[in-house]
Amino acid sequence: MMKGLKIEFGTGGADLVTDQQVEGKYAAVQNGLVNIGTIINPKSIHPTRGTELLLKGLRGELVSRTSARHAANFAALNTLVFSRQNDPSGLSDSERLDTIFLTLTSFAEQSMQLEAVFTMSDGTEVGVTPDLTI
Amino acid sequence: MSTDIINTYIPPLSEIKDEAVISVRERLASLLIEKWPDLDTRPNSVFGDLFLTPASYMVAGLEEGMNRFMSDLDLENVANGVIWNCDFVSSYLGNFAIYNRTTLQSTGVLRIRFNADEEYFLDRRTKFGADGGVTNLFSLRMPNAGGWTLRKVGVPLGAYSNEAVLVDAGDGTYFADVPVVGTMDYQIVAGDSHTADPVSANVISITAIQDFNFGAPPESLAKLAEKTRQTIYSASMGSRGTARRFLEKEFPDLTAISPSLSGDAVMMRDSTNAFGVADGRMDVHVKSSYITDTQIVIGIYDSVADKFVVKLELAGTPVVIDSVTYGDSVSVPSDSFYIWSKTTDAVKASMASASYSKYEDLYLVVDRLVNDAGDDIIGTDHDTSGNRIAMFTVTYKQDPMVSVVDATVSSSDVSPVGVDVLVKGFTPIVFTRFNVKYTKRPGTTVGVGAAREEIFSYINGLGHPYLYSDAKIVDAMFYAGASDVREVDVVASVQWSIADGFLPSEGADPTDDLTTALTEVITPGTLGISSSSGLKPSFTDPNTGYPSQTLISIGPRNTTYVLDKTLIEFTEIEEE
Repeated sequence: MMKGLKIEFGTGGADLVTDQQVEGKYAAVQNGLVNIGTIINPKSIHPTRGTELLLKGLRGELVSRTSARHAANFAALNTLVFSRQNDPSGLSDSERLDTIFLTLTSFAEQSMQLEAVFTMSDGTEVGVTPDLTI
Repeated sequence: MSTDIINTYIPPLSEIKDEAVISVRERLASLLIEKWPDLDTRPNSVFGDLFLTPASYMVAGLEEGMNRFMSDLDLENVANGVIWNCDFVSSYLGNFAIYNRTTLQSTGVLRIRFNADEEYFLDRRTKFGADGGVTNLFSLRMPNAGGWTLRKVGVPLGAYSNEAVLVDAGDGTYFADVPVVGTMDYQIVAGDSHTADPVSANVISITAIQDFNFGAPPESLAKLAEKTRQTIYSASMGSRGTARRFLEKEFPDLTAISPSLSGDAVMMRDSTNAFGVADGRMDVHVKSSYITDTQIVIGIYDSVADKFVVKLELAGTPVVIDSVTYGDSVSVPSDSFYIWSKTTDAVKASMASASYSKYEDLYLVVDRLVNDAGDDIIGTDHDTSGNRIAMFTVTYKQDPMVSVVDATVSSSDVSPVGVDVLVKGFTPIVFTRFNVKYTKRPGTTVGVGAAREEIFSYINGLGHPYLYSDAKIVDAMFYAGASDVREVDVVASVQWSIADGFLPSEGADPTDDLTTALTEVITPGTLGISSSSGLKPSFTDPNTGYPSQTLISIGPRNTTYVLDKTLIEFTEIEEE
């Protein structure tokens, strides 16, 4: 079972919790959330890592709920693909992401809120609500 | 020496290719799994992003740095101008005693002008400087001991002393030109003014009368590296020991290597020049694993000599003729065929000196065989020229490496200057009997098969400095189960050449005039061996210097052995 250090996401950003760890599906979900919030950089060693969701917000391209929902869907898809590309061999179904749903729950002038639901390959679900404040 | 690895060898992170980082990252992740199988190292994980990825950049940089460091150790790269750390390479080349010739000094001539015609003495320690004595310091270049004396105008100079005579310039000044030597940071040209320390009396001026010479230009590291490689390479055949090590390095498949030099007992190519000085000669005896070959040759019948003759063009360097058959089945008796040798270069290797080398032409001569009724046994045919011919099959053992080694050693890059090198095979002692008489304890068995293999391998692998020893045979027999070895009964003979006789270099060509060649052939005596203690012979041609000389020789430095496995026999004798 994969283990990693825990990150606490909040409205003020993300904090590293050095005395706690995440395991298994929670490690996969945490990695997925980091990927959603990371701005894609084609010049990095992982050119497909990250999404354009935050970038679009910064550029002011999320002008409507529709465009925000559209960007969120792409972010979910890109995150799922990247996650699968980097899953180590032998990873159990309970730790492998199968689907990611990002549902827009709040859309304001400076922020939007997404509800993220991660479904693992064994059918279990993990739901979180990230807040992306721009 | 402290080396700044980061700034000399490791490239900036921006120059490290993504492919290299990804490769390192994957290898590091695999490495970590061995110890921490659960550790999440994936991209987006805390450990993966905050440690593994930066570490991958550092390790990728280290790998590239190591490649560059290894490149600096490879003098071929350095010689081609690829140098990453000049300080290191310079120090590294110093290990081979290769240094830049900074001590080779610049030279020039200074004109010292005086205002009086007197005798002056310049101290040996006098320094001349072009710019006030800060740089470009020059000293007097004196062929003899002591200082430099400048005599008055017209005074004769003494022999074997550092002296010069003043010249009257006609304007009330007197001058002398003195050679100087020193270091020059920039070009000193004619007319450049100099100062002297200490200053001599009455000096008006000191000027360069010509452009100074820098001496040898400073050599680049690349040039030094190239010189190192050439030095190491060419020096490798310089002596007996280095020749052996060079060949061991270049040809690891050789089983024995033995250089013999002028003055060695087995060296028969010794000669002296017109001044009575011995020429440098080196015979390099080499041996690899012999292989057996079969070749069909066409013999031409000589009706006058009543024999067939053919020049043998065999593969490799023949060592032993196993058999000659007529056609491919009828064996020609050993006393009915002869091999003759004729050197192709009598100056380099005469008579038997050319044995087992590429300088030996071989001729097969076969008697016309008849049966009791007087009919020919050997069937013949006629070639397109109308010659009567017969087909013979020659089966022989050959050493494939002699010619290969010769080609390398003969190259101008390797062959030492002033030494005539001849690559040839060892002189074999060929066994015709090898019988081990042993005892065993009742109820035990002796593995003669294993013993035969071990003895065969041992004897055929021998060559200088290893000569035959009964002790190894006893060891093999003990290991096989024998309780004692009473005797190693051997019959063998020295095979001076694969040929039975030697033709003088200026003599007749057997394929042209076999009858005359028959009268010219010189047959060396047979050196038979009938006990194992005689398997370390030392013998040289007693006729050396006479017309009948064959230049045969054998000694520890050129002895090897040829033993057919089927000849190895074992005789169990009763314990008394």
